Amino acid sequence: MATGCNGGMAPEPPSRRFVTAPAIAVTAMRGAPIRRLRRLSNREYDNVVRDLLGDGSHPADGFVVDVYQNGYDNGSAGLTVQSDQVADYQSAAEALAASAVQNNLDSVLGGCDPSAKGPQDCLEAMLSSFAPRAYGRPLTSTESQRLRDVFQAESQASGFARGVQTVLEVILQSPQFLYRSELGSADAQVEAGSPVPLTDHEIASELSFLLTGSIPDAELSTAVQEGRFATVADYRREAARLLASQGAKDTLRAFLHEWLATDRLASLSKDVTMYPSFGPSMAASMTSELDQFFDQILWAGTASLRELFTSNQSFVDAALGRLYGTPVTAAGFSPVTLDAQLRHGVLTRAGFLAAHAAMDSSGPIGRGVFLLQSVMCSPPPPPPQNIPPAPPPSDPSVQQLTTRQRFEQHVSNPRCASCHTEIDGVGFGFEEFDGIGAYRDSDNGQPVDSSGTVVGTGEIDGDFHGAAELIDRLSGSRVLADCYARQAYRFAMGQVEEPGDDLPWLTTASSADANMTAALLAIVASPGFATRTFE
Amino acid sequence: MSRLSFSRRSLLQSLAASSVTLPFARTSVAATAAPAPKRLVIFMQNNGTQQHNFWPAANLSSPILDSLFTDPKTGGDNGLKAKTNVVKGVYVPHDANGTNGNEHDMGFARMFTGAKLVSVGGQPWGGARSVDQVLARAWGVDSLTLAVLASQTEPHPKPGFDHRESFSYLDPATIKHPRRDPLEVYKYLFQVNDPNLARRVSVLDAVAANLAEVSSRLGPGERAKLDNHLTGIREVEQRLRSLPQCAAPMAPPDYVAIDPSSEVNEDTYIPQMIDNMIDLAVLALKCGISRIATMQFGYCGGKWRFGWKGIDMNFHDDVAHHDTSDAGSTADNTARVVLVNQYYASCVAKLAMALDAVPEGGGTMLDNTLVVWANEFGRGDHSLSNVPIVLIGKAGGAIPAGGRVIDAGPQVFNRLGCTILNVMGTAAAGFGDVADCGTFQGLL
Repeated sequence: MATGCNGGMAPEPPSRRFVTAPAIAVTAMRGAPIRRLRRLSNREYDNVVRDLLGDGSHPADGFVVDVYQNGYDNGSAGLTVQSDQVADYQSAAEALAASAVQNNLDSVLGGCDPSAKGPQDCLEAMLSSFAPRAYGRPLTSTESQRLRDVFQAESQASGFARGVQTVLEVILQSPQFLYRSELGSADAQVEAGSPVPLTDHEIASELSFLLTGSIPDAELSTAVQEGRFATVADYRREAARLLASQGAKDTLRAFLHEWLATDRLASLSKDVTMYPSFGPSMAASMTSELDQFFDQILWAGTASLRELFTSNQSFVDAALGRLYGTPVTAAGFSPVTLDAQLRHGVLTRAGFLAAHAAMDSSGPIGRGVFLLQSVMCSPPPPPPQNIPPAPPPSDPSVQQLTTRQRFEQHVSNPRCASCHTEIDGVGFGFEEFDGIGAYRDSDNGQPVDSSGTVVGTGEIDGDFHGAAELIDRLSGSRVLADCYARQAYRFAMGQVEEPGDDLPWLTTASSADANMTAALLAIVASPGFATRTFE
Repeated sequence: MSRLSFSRRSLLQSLAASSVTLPFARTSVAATAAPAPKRLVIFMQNNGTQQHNFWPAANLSSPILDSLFTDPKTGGDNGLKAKTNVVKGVYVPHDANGTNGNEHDMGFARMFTGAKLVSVGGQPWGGARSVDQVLARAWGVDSLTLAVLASQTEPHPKPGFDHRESFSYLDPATIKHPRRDPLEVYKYLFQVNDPNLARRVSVLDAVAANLAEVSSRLGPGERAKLDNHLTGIREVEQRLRSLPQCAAPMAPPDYVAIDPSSEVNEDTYIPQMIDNMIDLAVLALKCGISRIATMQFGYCGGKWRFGWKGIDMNFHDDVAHHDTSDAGSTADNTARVVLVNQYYASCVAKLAMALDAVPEGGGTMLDNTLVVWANEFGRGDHSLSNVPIVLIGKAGGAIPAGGRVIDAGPQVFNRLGCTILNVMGTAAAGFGDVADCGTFQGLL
């Protein structure tokens, strides 16, 4: 694997671990992010059209794939719209509007019957009940008039249904729909650099998208309208209620997949000679196992980091059963107890191990870099320039060697060792697992050596033998709990934290045994959730 | 005209004032009998050239460049030599600017942005708008941003390497996503007989008005974000209004239907896709749909196997990286590097020849175009010196002569962007982070 060219899994140099480059930093100030718009991610778009229009067609599956600068797709602050996305949104809006007028007109018109009440009354019903749900707040008079004008022009030419359809097309392509606003009240008087309180509608959207990945439901909207969503106590109440919804299950699952970078299993390729059993079907099974594993822990277990990282309970189908050595005969997925010595938590699941491996081998460097960067929040420095790629496992010069031996220069060459002691020390602990996560005790005919050493953390430094020992030490540590707090922040706030961001209040909510949702709830209750900095 | 006002009348006025959407064959509606508009085409390649076999003698002949000047149908000269200049000595300073980028990123993300790399979300990105987008904004046109990214060795998207998907940048750290499905490009370019045209335009007008209103409430940083959206709306509206001046050609194959993984992790269709993309780019230029087209052969640092050339090896890991000196390494390895670069030369030639076959003004369309063939490296082992820069076309006379090897010592790569701007009619003293680099010495 040409690690020199690929630079591992995007580590950052130590002096800039948590900083985006100043020239384009989204947060100019300490504390709350700036007033901004957060574009719907593709996941959110699909959820919103489902909830708003009852449309389950997943139009965003065909959209341009986004890059999430903060690693998460909850209104990631860097998302923009380019010309090919304009075309994507246009075709989706047209299809959705046509379908809605066909199948869901009653809901779009807020229950108004045009044959009973007439077109104008029903248009007004749409503008006062449907449009505000789409825009996340009541419309301004200019916004309403704009839609009225569109309706008049089109309905005169082509009839009532066409008029409604065209209004829908405008709504679904407008920024009020495609972006969530975090701007505060339009008439607030503020100075540069000072905090701006968000409106109740904006906070409701923020909360709803954080916990359910979609627009506020009827109960939350009513609470906002009736002034019962104005205090932190109100936010907590609604948050608790929303956490019990199906949307919360889907959203937290997405969060964990994004954190652990297991969300792209579907596009993973493996060398067919090395791993003949791996393909789209196996990848789908691995994803499904993780889905069920996450759900079990979050909603039927302790929902703690410790359980996520140490549990050996899982769910397998026939293919995974063979991979894990826990054969199952029933069709579909069955709960199993995996090997108690070996399979401690998510880092030993096939999906994680396969996603963090090379096409043709275990990829310990990548595993080490990922763990350091995303699970321990201590990214190693970038590699020096001009490193030649390591010969692939099939190259005759290294065919007889173990992976560790292939990379022995990392240890023997002082130029490499300064960083690779830290990286390989962690990554090689997983050598018992091959490139698709199956256990092995030999590597190219020699016994696997899965010993390692953790350095540089203070708290959990020291030697270990095998991933399970490393994981057990990690799972109860502040290193993990603090890193998780950062990830929760990035997910919630749509950007990477700045050094000045006030996170100690957040790390107290995160611990090995706390419910993972506690960190999210702490963010909801924090001042930074309800204010932005004026820019 | 403020970019934020999108009334139908102002759009029509802006269309009338530009010769963008009208074909070269008809006199534009501009006040004067304007000369044919200039076009820009950029080919961006990865993994370097083979130095010894690329740089030609004075007659522009070398094993690699000969493929650029050969007509595949006849085996003889295709006439491009007289319209081509090759610039030697171009280098990219070795500077990761504190990001975790390596030489691949330095070459790829800097070549057309001119700026230092910036770190966002833990990845190294280009730090400025790229020259193709600078011109697109200046001209008020949409640029056709194309790539073939299919690969057996590295899937698309390649997790953690989003920054290597495109060399074209709308803004610092904001890449312009290339279109990578030929059929999707075809549908985008040739939306003919649209019964919904008027309605679509009025919908987009209303959307644009909403955008303008929202934008007015934003601070400068956020407003810049929305600007891309506004520009996108305008481009789609312009596309709706511009009637294609050519009949739609035959559609390319639906690769995704043939093989759903064709554009994700499949080498098989690469040469066909490249052909399709070049044909579509030529048509878009000929038919006045586009004035700017960029084409990218794979990811930055990409890994194709070139099975169709009989190589079938991971070209990046196992070939390019072994080209460790200008003279090459082993005979076999050198031969492979040469073969791949000859292939790319033939792709560039295909486009240039197609433009040269279109009469325009007193010459051909190629005479009013600048085709740039560039690379992220000079040499596959990460050398950033002597990056091969090939300039084809006369750009409406801005390039005084062809058939030259410009060898004026080391020339910093920023001069490429500066040259492009000047040759395309935009005066510029520098480009990117070197405000006074000037154009390529010895060229203009």
